[in-house]
Amino acid sequence: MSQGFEKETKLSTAKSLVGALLGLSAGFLFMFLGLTVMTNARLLVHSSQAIRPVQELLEADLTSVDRKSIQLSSDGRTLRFRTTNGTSTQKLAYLVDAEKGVLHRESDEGARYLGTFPSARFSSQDGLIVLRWKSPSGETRRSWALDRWVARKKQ
Amino acid sequence: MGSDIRRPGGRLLNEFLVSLGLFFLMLTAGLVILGSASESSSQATATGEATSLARETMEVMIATASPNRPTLREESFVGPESGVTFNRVSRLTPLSGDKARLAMLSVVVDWEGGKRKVRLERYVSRI
Repeated sequence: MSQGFEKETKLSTAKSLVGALLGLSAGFLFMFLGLTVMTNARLLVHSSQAIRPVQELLEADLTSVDRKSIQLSSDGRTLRFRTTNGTSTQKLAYLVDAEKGVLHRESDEGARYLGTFPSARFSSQDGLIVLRWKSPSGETRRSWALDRWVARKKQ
Repeated sequence: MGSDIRRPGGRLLNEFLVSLGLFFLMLTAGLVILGSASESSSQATATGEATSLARETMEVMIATASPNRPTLREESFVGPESGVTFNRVSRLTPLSGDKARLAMLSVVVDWEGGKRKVRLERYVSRI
């Protein structure tokens, strides 16, 4: 009986050990896969959401912009314009740091960080203000049609 | 005596089989959750790209299209992040009747054979 128990115990120990190792490996593998999926999802969401602060602020500014005051530097790093709300006038600038690609909005109230966009540049073409930058998936652009955003002020 | 020897062995086999069953049950459930999360992530990426493409197209149309000339363009794009092929149809339709001063711009981006779709519409003045 005792021999039977000893054999049984050794076998069961081996089985338990193999089972535990398999379970642990599967658990770690599953956890790693889950983390990879969630990290990728977060990164993708983050990259698509990064432009939102710029979009929201610039669109709000463009609704009250004095169209003739829009000035773009030759290197595309600076976008300046004047906005008018009723009687108050404000000078605004969107500045791109050439080295770090950090985009700031400067107003009378001070500077505000909007995000980091590597190799970001503003350009102007056919009534559009275009911001181009390099994202992990390649060059990305976001455009704003002046006819759309500036026209809102007149309505 | 003999039954005493067999009982622990039998119990262990049963325990092993039950554990194995539970393991596969949990593995299946886990894989289903993982697949679902992965699918949702892909769909979110594709939808984001389609929305961005539609929005960008609309801005360019507002800035460049002549509101008095009807246009229809169909093109295909491959999403840089998702790798999905998007079909984009942009259309400018001058309106008539009491809306004759307006033109309608519409951008439709569809993918997965038209199963999924993003549509943007906007009216612009023809004057």
